[in-house]
Amino acid sequence: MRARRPMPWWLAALVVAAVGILVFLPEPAQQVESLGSRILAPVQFGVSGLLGQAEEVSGVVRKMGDLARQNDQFREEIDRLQAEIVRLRELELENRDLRNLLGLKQRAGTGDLLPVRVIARDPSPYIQSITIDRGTEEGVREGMTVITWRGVVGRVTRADPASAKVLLVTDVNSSISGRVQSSESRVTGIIRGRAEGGLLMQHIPQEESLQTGETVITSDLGGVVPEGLLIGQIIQVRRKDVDVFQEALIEPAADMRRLERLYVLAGPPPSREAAR
Amino acid sequence: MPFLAYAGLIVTAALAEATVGYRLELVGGRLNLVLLMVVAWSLLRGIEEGALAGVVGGLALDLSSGTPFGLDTAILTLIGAVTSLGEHTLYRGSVAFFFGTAVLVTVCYHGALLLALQALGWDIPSFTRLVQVLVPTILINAVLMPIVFTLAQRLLRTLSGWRQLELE
Repeated sequence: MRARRPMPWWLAALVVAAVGILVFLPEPAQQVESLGSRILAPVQFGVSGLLGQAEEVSGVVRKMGDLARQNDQFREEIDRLQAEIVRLRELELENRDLRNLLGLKQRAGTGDLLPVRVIARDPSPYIQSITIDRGTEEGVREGMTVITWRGVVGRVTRADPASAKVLLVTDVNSSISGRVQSSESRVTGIIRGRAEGGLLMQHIPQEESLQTGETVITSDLGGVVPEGLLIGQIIQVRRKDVDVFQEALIEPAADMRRLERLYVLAGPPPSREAAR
Repeated sequence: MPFLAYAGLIVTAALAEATVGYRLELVGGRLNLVLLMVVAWSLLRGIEEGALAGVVGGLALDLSSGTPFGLDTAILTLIGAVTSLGEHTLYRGSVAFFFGTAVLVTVCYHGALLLALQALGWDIPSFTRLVQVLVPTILINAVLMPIVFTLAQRLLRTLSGWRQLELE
């Protein structure tokens, strides 16, 4: 065990002198203090400034980390909201279609509506027909009418268990009975598809007055399509004095190149011949 | 083995024609990929496999067509069988031969289809419409015929090579 060393005599003398100065000579003490402060202040300022800046930098770094995390969260939120907007837009469109269909259903007094999707089109350029994804297993029968909320699309010509073929109204082999919906004329005629596109309303008596822009709807004369479904608008009237009948070119209301959200009108199945 | 693989490709081509073919119309004409594939196989493999390719392609087209079932099968089987005759009498591998074949089979296919439809009581498009569709279709088929034939030939060589390796 080491012996304890006594306090050096000069240290004791220094302490006694310092206490003596502080007690008996306060002015020199203050001057010393002042001098020390002057020397120390800039250093303190610099150090505190540096520490403050370092603190700020660390704060910024910390904030940057937080901001990056928040940014990621916001981006995820934006993606989610954008997906939600797309979904809501689709729902809005579907809602609009369904409202239109409901109105159409009430006006036309149609039966049940079976939603269907187009899964194929006829490979032949001469035949305008489509294949839909529902068949006899879902209640689809030959002769049933296929519509969009815009109007008539066609009729089912062949129904298989899981799919069905629909002949579009724009095919040359399609013919349905139509009526001009105007206050003056309620004339009816046969509406056939044209190979060049569009529809042709035939067998309209010459004395009937037809105007372009008039709406054409289905008529129950043929007994195969429910009455009151929108077919299209007259875009041209063809009248010759030598002919017994006049004709009208019709622009179909439904866009046959972009068919989506189709519905099969469930009703009594007409005969196979009537479906053609 | 090569025929089965090719038959799968023909069915795929028929599905493509039915699902996206109408979107690829060029100045009113449409590519008859199944027809070209049947013709190419017929030229490569002769009457039996040509006719069989016609049966497969025709059935695949009939399944997605609104025309009476079996019409495409009958026409393509006939074309698949008859085209193989060119293999023995005319085939020299020239571009002119492919062009001529494409023109001939396209006219025959479309003509036979419309005549059969008319015979079955269907209304057919006017002559003007027929020309509007047929002329660009002939051109498209004529351009693609050598390509389809070359691809079919390569496929056949590849698959035959595998078969030879299996036998060894």
